[in-house]
Amino acid sequence: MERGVPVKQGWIRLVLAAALWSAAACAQRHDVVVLIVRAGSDVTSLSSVEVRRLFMGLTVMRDGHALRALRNGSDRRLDQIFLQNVVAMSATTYERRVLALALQQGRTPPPTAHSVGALLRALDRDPEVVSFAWASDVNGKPDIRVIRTLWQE
Amino acid sequence: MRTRRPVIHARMLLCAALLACVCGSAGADPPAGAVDHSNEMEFFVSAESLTRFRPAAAIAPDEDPNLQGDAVFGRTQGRMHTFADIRATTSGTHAVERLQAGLEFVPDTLLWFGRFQQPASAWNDASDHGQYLQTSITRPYIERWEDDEGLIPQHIVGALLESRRQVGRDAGVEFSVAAGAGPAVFADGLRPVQILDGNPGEHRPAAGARLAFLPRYFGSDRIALLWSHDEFAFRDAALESALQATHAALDLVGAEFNYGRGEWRVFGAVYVVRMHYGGLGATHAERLTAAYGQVERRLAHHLTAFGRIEPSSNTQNSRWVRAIGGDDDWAYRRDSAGVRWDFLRRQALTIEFSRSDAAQARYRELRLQWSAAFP
Repeated sequence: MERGVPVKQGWIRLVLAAALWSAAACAQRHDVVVLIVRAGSDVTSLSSVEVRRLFMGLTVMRDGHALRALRNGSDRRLDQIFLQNVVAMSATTYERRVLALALQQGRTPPPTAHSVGALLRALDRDPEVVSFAWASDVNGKPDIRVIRTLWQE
Repeated sequence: MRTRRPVIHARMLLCAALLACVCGSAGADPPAGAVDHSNEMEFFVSAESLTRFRPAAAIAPDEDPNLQGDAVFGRTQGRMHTFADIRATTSGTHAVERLQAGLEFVPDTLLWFGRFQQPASAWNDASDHGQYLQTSITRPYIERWEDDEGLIPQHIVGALLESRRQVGRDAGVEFSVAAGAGPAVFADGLRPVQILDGNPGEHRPAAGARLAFLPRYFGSDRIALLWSHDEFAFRDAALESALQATHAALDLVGAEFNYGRGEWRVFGAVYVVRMHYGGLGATHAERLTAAYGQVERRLAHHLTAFGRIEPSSNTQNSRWVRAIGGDDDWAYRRDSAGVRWDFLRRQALTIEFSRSDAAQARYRELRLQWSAAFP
């Protein structure tokens, strides 16, 4: 009976440690947001102003081709980081700005991919598409190129 | 009405064909394949009710539409942009408000050809026909459309150059210059060149420009200078008699500002309009000034309160206002206030109360509006 208590406590500690490690790993997994293009794309760099212009629906050119922004709507937290750090606007303000551009000039607001799979497929199809994702979602994917880090905790 | 229906159907079919030409497909999904173009389609819809508290003196009933919709179609292919804006209302208006094709020869510098809105309007730049994008229900009187007793031409057919450049780290400048054919003047007001309807001619030269400084390149804050010049030929004998002229020129200079801080936004414009008349007897001129200022405050629960004043000078005695403003409810001063509630994504309810001073009498109005943008 006396030996059973330390064994049980040991298991509890082990489970707690595993849970903590898992939570930490999960948090770590989602701590970096990166700007991405298809690996074969000619886009090798974009300044923060160009990224902002692109996701506002304005024109950004590379080698005579207009780039197209693709918003990542697969994760609510990722979308909040996008609004705060990329376009630096509230969701309402951003929506009204891109709507106003559509109404004034017929410009297309960036479409949204609602899953990582849809986002990767869209990138794979079009070398002019620029998007963003959690680094953990694209690390090790040979067909995706990370251009820069957009946000890091 | 019975005889007009086939005409309306034919026009609607023409509208549909036009849309098909401008935009083959549209939507918000990611591209379905390697593409070199993008399409845009937005619908702005609003429904409105109006209660007018009439004064003792009779004022003709207002003809504001109960239901109106704007369909906006855009297509971008490389540097080429095409764009159409089609408007229909339950009061019988159905028109191609804008139809433009443009070349973006450097990023954010576009040369458009077609029918577009003249650049010397502060209100058009912010919300255009999209009721959902404007906080208040009404436009200021001086910003009214040509078919709604508007005094200033709002549409030109010709060429428009638009450019926006970054200055320094955060600021920017924006300018627009346009030239082409402006509206003709009839007994019922200004009539710009129509895309679908016939045009009886007599559309004279028109030009306009706006130069704006943007403290934040990506923001809405701005101060701008406005200028336009329009020439008119009158197409109605009664109008010629009333104005003692067969033709006229309108020169406008103005300024606008738009500034937001925290939950507050304030914006406004002032226009000085000088009319030169000629053709019957001696040439003569008149000047009028109209301004407005609106303040908005975002509140909790997606509510926004707003208030606007619209003073003017020399509009009471202006021949131009009497002839073109026509309707006896054209207000030389209006004060309005209201609340907007964004109750769903891209949908809002707005209530607005206003008090107007017209030449004949003072009257009050209460408006309720639902506005939305789709998809």
